[in-house]
Amino acid sequence: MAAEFDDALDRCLHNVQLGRDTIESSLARYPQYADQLRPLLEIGVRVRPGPLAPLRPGPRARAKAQLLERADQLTARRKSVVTKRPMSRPAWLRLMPAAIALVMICSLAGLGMATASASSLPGDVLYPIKRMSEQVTIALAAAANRPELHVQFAQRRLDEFEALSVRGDFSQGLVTEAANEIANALSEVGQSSESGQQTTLQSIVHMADARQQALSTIAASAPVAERANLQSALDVLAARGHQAADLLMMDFPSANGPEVTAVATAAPSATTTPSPQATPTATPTPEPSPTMIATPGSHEPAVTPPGLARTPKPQVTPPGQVKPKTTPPGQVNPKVTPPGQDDSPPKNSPPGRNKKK
Amino acid sequence: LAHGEKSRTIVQFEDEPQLIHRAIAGDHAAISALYDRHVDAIYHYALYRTGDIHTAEDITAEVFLRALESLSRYDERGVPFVVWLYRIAHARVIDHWRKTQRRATLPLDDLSERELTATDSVLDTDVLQHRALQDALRQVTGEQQEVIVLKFMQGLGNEEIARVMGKTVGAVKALQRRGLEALARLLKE
Repeated sequence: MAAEFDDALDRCLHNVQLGRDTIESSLARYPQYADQLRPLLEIGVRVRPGPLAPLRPGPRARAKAQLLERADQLTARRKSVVTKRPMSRPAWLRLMPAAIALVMICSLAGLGMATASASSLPGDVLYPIKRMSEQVTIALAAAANRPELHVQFAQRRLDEFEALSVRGDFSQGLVTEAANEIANALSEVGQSSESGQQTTLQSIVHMADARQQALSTIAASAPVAERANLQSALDVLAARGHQAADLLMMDFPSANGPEVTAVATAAPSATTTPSPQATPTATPTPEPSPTMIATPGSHEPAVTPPGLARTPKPQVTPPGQVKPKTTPPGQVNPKVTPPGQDDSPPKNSPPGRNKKK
Repeated sequence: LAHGEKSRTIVQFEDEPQLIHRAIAGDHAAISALYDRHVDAIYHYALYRTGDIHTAEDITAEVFLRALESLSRYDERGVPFVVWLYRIAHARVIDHWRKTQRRATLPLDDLSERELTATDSVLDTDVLQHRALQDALRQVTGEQQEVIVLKFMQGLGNEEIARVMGKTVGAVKALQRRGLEALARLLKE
């Protein structure tokens, strides 16, 4: 009701002010509100703007001058902000190309340094980069590729040892490091494919064989004071080679010479029947081969490289050696030690591995 | 008449958007043009609302300064520029009242003697009636006074008044009715 009246009043006022209606004609449009509208319309037509004098010239001029001065200040501030903005807001954005270029330069420089450091020797400026590069390579490599990388790095250590020995520097530590690299390769070889395992083990065996003569010669020329330690390190290295040979022979008999046919020692009636042409490569070494030790009752090797879950392998009796005892029917052979090996655990036994057959 | 019909006296200047853009960039000519175009309307509004010439002058200067500082935020698609100025003036007047702790007054004597031109028709042909009207207008509420000033003195439409005061059009119409009822009652007495 009030809203309708307000609307009616507003329309009447508007039409009267515009001269479209008189007060009477407006009231005729809204006879129901005529009595209420009349006094309001009469007041409304009387409230009209008077001819007020404009703002005085003095205050007008002062206010305009103040306004223009303020405009200049705002413009100056805006310009300073615009000038500063490229340095502040998108600073990271503007520096992005430079950062990318820097990263690329560093990457290329790093690559170049790594390449240049490849032939460096201990004591050279670039040698730490060479070793760091190896660590990065190992860290980034797939698990299946790491064993072969360890073998490569072992070869590098031996190369470095040989190079330094020419200078009269018999760094026994390099030989130890090479042996450690091979130990790492053996412990991780189970993560490679079957062909990868075979390749890695063959690389280790070949490296050990190929280096043995040269390393022995170098050790012989070393000062007497260093000779003992050096020979000890070389023995450890040779043991790693034998370890690889054992694994290779037992897991990949066809790849390591004459095929051996044998009966698992765990079987109550286990018998070992070497091939007539069998030439065992698993010769006794100062360190017992982990693959050749069976845990009593378990019929499994005490230490098995990861990934090499093997079926108990036959004992190979080298020609001229006494054939190992066989367990009488109905008994479990608690322990089978290859000829020439003792019962002590391996010094560097790779953890058990499960070979994918 | 359509509801919310635009102001009957406010002129929409076609060049105003361009002037505003130039003013934002600091163009003195554009700023001067906008100032000269609207300064008297704002001054008269402030004078009606405060009843004091000097206060009206100060409020007018402050309105244009504030408008310039926030001109980049003005959206010409929303309200006419002068209505935007009225809104700033409305806030300044309320602020002035808050500071002085007094209601707006319309000094009829001052207006009639110093501000009104004597030759033209004033608020009414009858000066006495005019004075009585001004006295009555001083006694209505501030919101009723503002609606009457903006509508009958400044010529704004209901929608524009609503924008200035931050109210609905219906509320403006109700204030208009109540203000006229109060004036009628006061003048009858």
